Amino acid sequence: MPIEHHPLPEHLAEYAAGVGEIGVDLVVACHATLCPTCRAEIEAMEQLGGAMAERGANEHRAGPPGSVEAATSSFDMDALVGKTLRAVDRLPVQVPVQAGGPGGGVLGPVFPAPLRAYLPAPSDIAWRRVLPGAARFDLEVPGHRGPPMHLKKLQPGLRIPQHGHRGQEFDLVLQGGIKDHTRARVFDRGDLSYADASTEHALSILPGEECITFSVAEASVEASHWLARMLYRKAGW
Amino acid sequence: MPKTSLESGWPPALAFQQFRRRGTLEHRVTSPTDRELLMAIARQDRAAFEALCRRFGHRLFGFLVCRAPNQEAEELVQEVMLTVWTRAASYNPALAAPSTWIFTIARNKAIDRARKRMRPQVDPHDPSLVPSPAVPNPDQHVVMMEWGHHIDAAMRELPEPQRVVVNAAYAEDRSMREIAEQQGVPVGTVKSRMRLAMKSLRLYFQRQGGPDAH
Ligand SMILES: [Zn+2]
Repeated sequence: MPIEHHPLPEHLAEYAAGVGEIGVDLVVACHATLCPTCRAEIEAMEQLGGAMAERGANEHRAGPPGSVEAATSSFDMDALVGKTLRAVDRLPVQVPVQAGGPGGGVLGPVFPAPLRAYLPAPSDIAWRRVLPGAARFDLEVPGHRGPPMHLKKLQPGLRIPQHGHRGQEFDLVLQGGIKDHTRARVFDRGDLSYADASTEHALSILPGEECITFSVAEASVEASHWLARMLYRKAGW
Repeated sequence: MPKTSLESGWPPALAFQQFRRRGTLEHRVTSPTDRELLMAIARQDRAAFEALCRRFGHRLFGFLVCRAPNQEAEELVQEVMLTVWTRAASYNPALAAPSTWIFTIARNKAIDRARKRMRPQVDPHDPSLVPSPAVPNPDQHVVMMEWGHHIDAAMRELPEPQRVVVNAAYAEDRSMREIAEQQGVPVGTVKSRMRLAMKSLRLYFQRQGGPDAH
């Protein structure tokens, strides 16, 4: 089934400009792995950056003498060409990644490559049970100060009561599916559910497979009912 | 016509077309277009690669030396050209002029260097990758535009606040948060300006009829 729920244009633009935060960048790169439409969109936006870079470079060349000109005058073209050609000779032969290879296994294709780079082997993912039917794995990225990233594993049929959000939340579905009862939408593999402070919704996990999401959340959720609120707090959501 | 390594693999009809467009024989032989060079590089033609290095080396260095010290800028130029060598076969002339494509690679290298970390990127060899449809749908064709030829005109059409945001993000590598601080407006405002700008830019290129129009 084609993907129906995409990142917002500003998230794609931020990614393409290369100025996004790692969490959202990972969401976008994983979505783009599964969504050819967004992949093409990103490519077009990246060309915008390239066109602006090119224009800047041409302006420097045409402009009055300055530090850039001083630097470029010391540039040794023959040395560069020589080094580059030697480097071409040393290039390794490209070996395509095998499904089920390192970091693969049965779950290999579930996690797109950009995310696999930050995950242990699927069998080594230390899932932490947070509620009956719900487990979570926190991603540790050294030096990362943005919104926390985690994987969620949710049992088929699980109901998640009405709740709001204190900040932006991205949930990219990688396996199984989620039904949003409030917004009357279904999220399958590759679909991105985006919520912010204005979103309040009740969810359930589609029957069949376990649902796995890659999630980036600025803040914990705020359950509408006191009992659910207590549960969420306990679960650390 | 003297044979150069570049011409060895040309289908005759295409070569003739190129010849007709360029007008003079001398011009055709002495200076192949960037696109011709890229096509030859895709067939691993080292002479074409060297020619392209010489053609772009200074400009790439000029761009990169504004973002990195001399020595590193030189290394980055080399990295850019190596990427050109390995990816030339995937260059899509419908999407961008060769120079725009090369500068896009350069810009991405500069960004990775500034962030001291590779930006998460789609891996074309990823077994999870959902391939693009063989025939792009009409909507998708709209975004396959050539920014290079229209960038100034398209930017001029944007209202000032949107132009400032696009310029800060794409030309000055500033994050939405930094732009918000610089402009003294909430991050949400910057994001909505970016969203509107992207929408207008798309519409602009749609009106131009995409890359086939010029
Ligand atoms: Zn998409």
